[in-house]
Amino acid sequence: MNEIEIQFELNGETRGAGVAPELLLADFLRRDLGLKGTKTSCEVEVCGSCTVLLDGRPVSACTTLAHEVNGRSLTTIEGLGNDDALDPVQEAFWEEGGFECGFCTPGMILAARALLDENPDPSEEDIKAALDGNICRCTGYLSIIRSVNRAAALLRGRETPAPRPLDERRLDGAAKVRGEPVYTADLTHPGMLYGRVLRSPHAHARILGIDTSAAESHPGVVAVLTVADLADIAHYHGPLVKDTPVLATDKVRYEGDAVAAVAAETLEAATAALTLIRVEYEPLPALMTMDEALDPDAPPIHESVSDDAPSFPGYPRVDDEAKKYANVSFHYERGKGDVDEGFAASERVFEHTFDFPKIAHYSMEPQLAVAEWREDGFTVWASTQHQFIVRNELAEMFGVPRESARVVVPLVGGTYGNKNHTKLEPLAVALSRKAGRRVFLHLSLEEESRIVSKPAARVRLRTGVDRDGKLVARDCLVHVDGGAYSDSGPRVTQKAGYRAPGPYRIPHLRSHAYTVYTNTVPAGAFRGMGTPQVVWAYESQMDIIAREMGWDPVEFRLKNLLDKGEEFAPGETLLDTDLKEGLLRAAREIGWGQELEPDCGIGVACGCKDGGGNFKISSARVEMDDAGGITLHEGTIEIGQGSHTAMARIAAQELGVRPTAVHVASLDTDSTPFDMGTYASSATTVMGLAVQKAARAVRDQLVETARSMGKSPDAAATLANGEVRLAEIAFPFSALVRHVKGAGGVITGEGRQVSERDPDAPLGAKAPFWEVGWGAAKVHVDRDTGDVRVLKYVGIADAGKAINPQQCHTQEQGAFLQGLGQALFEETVYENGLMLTPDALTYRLPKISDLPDEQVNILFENGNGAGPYGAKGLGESGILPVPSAIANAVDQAVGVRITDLPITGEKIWRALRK
Amino acid sequence: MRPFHYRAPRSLDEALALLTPQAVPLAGGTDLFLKMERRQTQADTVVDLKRIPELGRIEAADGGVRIGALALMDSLGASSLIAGQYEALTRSARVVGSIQTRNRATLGGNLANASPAADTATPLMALGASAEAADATGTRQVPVDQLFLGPGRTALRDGELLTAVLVPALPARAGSAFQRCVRTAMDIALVNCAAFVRLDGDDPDTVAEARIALGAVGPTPLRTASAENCLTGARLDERVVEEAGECAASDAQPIDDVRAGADYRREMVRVLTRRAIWKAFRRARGEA
Repeated sequence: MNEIEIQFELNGETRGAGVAPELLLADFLRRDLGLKGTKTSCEVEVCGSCTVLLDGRPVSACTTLAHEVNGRSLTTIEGLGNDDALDPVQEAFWEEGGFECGFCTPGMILAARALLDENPDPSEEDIKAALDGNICRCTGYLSIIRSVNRAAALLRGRETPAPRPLDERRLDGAAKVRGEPVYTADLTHPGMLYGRVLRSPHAHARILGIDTSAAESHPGVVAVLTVADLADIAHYHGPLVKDTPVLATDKVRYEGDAVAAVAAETLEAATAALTLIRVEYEPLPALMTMDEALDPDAPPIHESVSDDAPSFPGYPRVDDEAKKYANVSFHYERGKGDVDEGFAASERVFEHTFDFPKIAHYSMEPQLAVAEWREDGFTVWASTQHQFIVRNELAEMFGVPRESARVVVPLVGGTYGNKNHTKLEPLAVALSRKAGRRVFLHLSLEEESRIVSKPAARVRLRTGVDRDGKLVARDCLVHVDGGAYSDSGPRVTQKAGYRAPGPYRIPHLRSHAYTVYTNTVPAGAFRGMGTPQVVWAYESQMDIIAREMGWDPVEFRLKNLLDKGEEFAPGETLLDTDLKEGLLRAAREIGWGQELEPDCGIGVACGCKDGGGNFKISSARVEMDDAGGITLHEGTIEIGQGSHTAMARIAAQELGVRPTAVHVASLDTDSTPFDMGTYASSATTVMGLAVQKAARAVRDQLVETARSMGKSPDAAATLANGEVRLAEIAFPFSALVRHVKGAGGVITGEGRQVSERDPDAPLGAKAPFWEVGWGAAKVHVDRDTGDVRVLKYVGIADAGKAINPQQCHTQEQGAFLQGLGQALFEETVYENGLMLTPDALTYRLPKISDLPDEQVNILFENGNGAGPYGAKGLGESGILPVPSAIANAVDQAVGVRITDLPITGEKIWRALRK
Repeated sequence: MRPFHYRAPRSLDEALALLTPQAVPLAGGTDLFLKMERRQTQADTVVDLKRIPELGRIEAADGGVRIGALALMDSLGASSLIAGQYEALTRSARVVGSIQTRNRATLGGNLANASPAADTATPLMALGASAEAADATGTRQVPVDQLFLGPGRTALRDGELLTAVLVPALPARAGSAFQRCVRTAMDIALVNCAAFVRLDGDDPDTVAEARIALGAVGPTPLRTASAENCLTGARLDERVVEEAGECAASDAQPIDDVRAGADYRREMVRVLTRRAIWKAFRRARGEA
């Protein structure tokens, strides 16, 4: 249809264009004008990531038509600042670390800019009101509020704060506050194909036939992929159980299961072609809940899963217990003592069951993959946490040597476990292979919620106590709803079962955990890997027991918490943190024991997990060139957690240079040394040690060379300012490199850190460290509506030693807010086999207005970590205690105990009515 | 999005001529484009009303205020003609969506979509407002409480356009309030309630006139006659307000689904109605 001629002002310059009436502003900016600073995420005008300013007012480009800018002035993130200087708002966000993954950042900065243009001195309430339409899933918003306050000060020009030195800022900040195209989502180029996926509308159905002829002849379509195209590859993948097909074979197992895919010249053509594929289904009964799936008469969702599928190192095979059930893919157990004897010896035995619902990860950058098949191999650009694992699995599936399979990982626009292991990559490769062209596999956020979820879990705890308030026995039964395919569900189950007893001294204990197949979205890793689900249970029950027995909940915990240096399980790393210190601090900060206002309550909780992964292998390489330039090659993926900055700081510390002097190389399996992946809060500890070793290897060569040049083999050496100093003589790095390697030469240092396998360790290898989170909440409950308002929250984490304190706080604050969402409102809901909450309109994400009135964040830095300088991992810790601390506070406030999350007003209202 | 023809008339007459059955009017577009993306609306022509200047105005009229159908939610929330007078309307306009939405969403769009949960509908009903509808033959007024026929259905005839909303002058000793309760879903009210109260000239504790409207608890936003009757002529006290809340709750027709039980929604009607009445009452007395 007719194009509309428009003229408008774009970032201060007059522009003209002809646009189709239906062209969305976001597509116009990103695709036609190549302005990729406008990030699109939810596509339903909720998340604000595509915010632009139209005549100075924030609007969402995802639901605005391009021609609506006609005659108006449009500002995008590219219009802020210039080549020489950032806009003060961008500067402030960088200084205060008001971002993590950065995907929401351009929209957030523009919304903040519009606020400050109108209101130069906003209150915190004004800031919350102005930014309530901009979702950030990473930071927990506190650093954003700080950034806006700083921006306001900079713009007012009075009381100008001293600039934060570049060496104290995140290294990825400039690119992110400018909205540079640093993500896989930005890798669209003219000439590439767009891929889209046809998904099952049924929860469970047999596929009787697929007719792709109409789709194939649709204009612009280059390839339509069905399972028939995959006969020559190893079709199933999965990190633990290889039960996930690239495309559904004989049947679909959940609403959203991939059935076919299209590659076309345009996204529109690919989308249109999807509607032309005819699939004939025979619906089958759907097992939507674990109860249905565990029913003895339930039919199997997977008729057969190969027993000899390769398993993860140390990961036990499906055992006889699992085989008793039609829909259990994995079973784990541990125990000590005799639980029945323990219960017999107990004063009281308590039994409670706690439910945790399915949760959507909702990283702002959806799952994406770009693939290019060549005759001799392929390249994949992926938004993933596991570049080498993905590469190896893809190579195996497609029968390509590993060295010919290349995975490139740009910055990742957020992941909380959802981008771990292989997800869309095989489909992208298969589509490119058939189309013979590079394919950008596009997923909408609505599809994202159908790729993976945080598993629902049901945790039954039976706990025996003696009359002195000591735990005697605990029996844990954990069922994890793994959804239709295993993904990381079994590993989550193993971790949940292992950690379910909690960090308490319990003589008799038993824990069984099962992964259950259901006809719902596959469930896998989510921040904490099964731990939030079990902490929710055991920390709720600790309070219930204390209340019933008339004990103080803090005292009761103190009596039973493991001591520092005590054993969590035989063969495991001894507890490396003082749990009591943290609990007492949290209790003090929240005002434990103080008199409370009516309908207010306080609650505490603490949780811990064996941190850092079990079999992690990390390697790093530091190169110094003959100008003294330093490049760090390491495989930790910058997912927003700040790993580039942390690793650069470690290398810089060892080499006596400023962090900004260390260039962190982009990540490419062709050149990056091997790393197992970015997960389990492991990077700072495990990769940190590898980086430290690599930097030290370079340092040692420099020192040795300097001593040899200075003919003083025993002289004490210091490294600073790009020089090795021996007493009075300074040797510039450049001279040392040239001396050893000649002009153009490079000194290289390598470092490797391996978590050794240990047959005596409970999970096959000792944990590198313990990750611990303490929390305390003060809430008010509205008795009429049941609404819970968190008035104050105290979060404490054990950093060991904070490499980047600003970022450690942001990680913990972000974890807290995810915990708050999961405590109070987040939930993936199904009805009649269909997901009711697939998008940001229907799934409630935490907004800036959900923040408590007051928040205290504390980092313990006792140098007790196994990583460089005593550092240890955090970031998962902050989510662990949140739901139970809030539930415990609600119970104190109004005497209502909620055992199934989320703690909605309706549930409280119902309980109050009883 | 499916391709369509685009028209941007400069006058109302021109717009009315373009609104054939194959055409759909475009106001803010916040709902329309989502419907078009999801293929819930099949139109081959979009008639953009934003270039018609008079439709965007908010102006004093007949002692009250005339709000053009294309007035933005943000303008509505900030308008000094509305704030301080029609508090229920101001509050509701300020909670519609996010700031990004309020910068594009219009009052006319919010009403013409006929969502049972439309936030501005209940305040307008409580304030006794009328919608102005125009077609080629002329204009007519439809009281807002008769505008909605069902989810997505209004009393507008084919070819007729919602052009403005007329809010009558606020009488002396009157006040209004808006309350809503949001659960689970992002910005959609689980229940909303607007109350209008006018007090007796001789006795500032006695209600001379009351209108209570409820949102999201029926196929359309609805007035609760029994609650209004209960208040009218009564001296306001805890008991009367409690009774009005009960009446409102029994007039509500909430659904029962996985998001919330009907009994809870009904209870929220009771709670919000009570709170809205008290707020409106205090405003009518000039206390808030």
